[in-house]
Amino acid sequence: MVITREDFSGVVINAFAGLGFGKEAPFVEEFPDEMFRDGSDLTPIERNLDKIIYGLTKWEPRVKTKGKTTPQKVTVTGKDYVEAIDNMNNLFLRNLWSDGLPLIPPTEERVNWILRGTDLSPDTDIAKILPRGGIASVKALAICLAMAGGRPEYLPVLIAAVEAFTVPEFRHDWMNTTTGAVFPAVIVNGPIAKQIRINAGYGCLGPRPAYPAGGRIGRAIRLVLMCLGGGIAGINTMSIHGNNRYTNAVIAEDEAGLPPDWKPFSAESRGYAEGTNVVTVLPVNDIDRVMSPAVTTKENMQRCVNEYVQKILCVSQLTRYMGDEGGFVGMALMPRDMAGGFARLGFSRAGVQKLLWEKSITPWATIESVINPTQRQMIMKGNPSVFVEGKPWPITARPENIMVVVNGGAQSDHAAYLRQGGASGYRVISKEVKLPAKVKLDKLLKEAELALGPPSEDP
Amino acid sequence: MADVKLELYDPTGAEEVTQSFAPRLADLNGKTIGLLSDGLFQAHRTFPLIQGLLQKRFPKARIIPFNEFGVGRAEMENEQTMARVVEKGCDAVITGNAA
Repeated sequence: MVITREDFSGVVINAFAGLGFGKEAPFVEEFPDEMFRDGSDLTPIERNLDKIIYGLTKWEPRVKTKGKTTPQKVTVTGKDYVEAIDNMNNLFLRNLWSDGLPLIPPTEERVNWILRGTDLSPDTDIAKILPRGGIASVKALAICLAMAGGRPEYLPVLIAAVEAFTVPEFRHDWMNTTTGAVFPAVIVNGPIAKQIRINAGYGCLGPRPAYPAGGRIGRAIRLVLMCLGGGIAGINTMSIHGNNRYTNAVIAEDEAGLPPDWKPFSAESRGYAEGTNVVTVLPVNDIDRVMSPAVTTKENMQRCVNEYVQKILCVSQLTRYMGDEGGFVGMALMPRDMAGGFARLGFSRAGVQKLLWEKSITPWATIESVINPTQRQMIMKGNPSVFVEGKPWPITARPENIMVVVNGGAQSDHAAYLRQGGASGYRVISKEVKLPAKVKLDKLLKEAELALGPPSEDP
Repeated sequence: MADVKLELYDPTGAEEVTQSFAPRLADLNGKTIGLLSDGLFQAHRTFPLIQGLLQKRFPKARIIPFNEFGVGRAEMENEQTMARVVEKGCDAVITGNAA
């Protein structure tokens, strides 16, 4: 028996489906949104008591048998190929199978072409995508990648990203239903990033035609969340404004541009051996621009740190993350020259994280004014050695919870900050990318070179 | 007459029903009903109201208040809370609020 507010029935039904029930739920009629606000009139509950009792005593499910069902193919026609594609896009819009931008038709031939990118069987089930619980088989992921305009060599990265965000601790069910605007950001380390043209340089958050992979993998992730997960705005996901992230953010670290003593993010911060192909997925709510002078002196460095911390510290952040020791706050993206500036002044990646963390320490008077007593008690209970009554508090329990990644080209002046998804409890998850046999990958990369021209060598 | 025909995959993927809903209760009198709260959207007001209304209608029902279980979005569904629901002998639960 579930109590819900107006417009949330779809979310509730999907939540049951995601748990393995039929696509239905014993919920009462939706209650008006006003009832769920401070000081509201609760008489709708009294008026609907019989419905609550009905849900507990009389309601019967329509679906009474267990088992797996696979949808049938659909057919579209047209007087020529352009009209058929137009008709296909209209059909997919009517069926809510589209992100609204034009799609490539997922024909059997096209999907089989994409499936050449993996040695896994198409029938391998990777995960269920919540809240709806559509099964993300390798083939289902290839369908979404085909629709997004992807290529075969992108498939292993898409599979690894889906494996990562469907780890229960990531809480992709929250990400795909929240009234907030959380989207997955994927950081790729290892040689595969450059091989398949994921951008680590100028304009890495997109678009950049020389590096189409990130946008298309990211769009496929969006289609996975919508088509398999049921993340349709206003029906199953209640994101109030959304985030204009049709392509989410799939970017690489600029490993060639790392300062001499810095190892790749996947090695330093995530524990993988250097040279391993790894995706790291984080739930992000905002991308902030950070303007900073080149880090050439200690004074300039402090200005740079201040700029980042301006983005890190805001009231909603203060109330959400402090007691969550394993949670992360956000990720500082910095270009080569900025990272190099920190390094020339003697700071490692961990050193930069510590600088940001120390600068986030907030006076007790501010803490007391923005965090209510109940929340303060919860935070102190979460980590009593760091958060002490009457003392200044850092934004998060540990410096490692503020991550640092190098990308964005060779200049300084601008950087970016990816702010966490808006709640404690979210986690960052990394997964190794499982590539197909080398001979197969080499062939795919050669085909890509023929189609797209030689890869760019520009930062 | 159409000259081009495209056969396309439906991108919504397979679904699997693995669980059945529990049978409904014939009568709430004599039964134990647990209240599970995510602590959001006035749950601290709606649950006591529902508890009072149900108790009045079903005087022999045992209704366990929300604050006897874990409260919060993650806490209401974790294994400890589920174990506590079993330990308390709940025949039914009402969860809320919102989604």
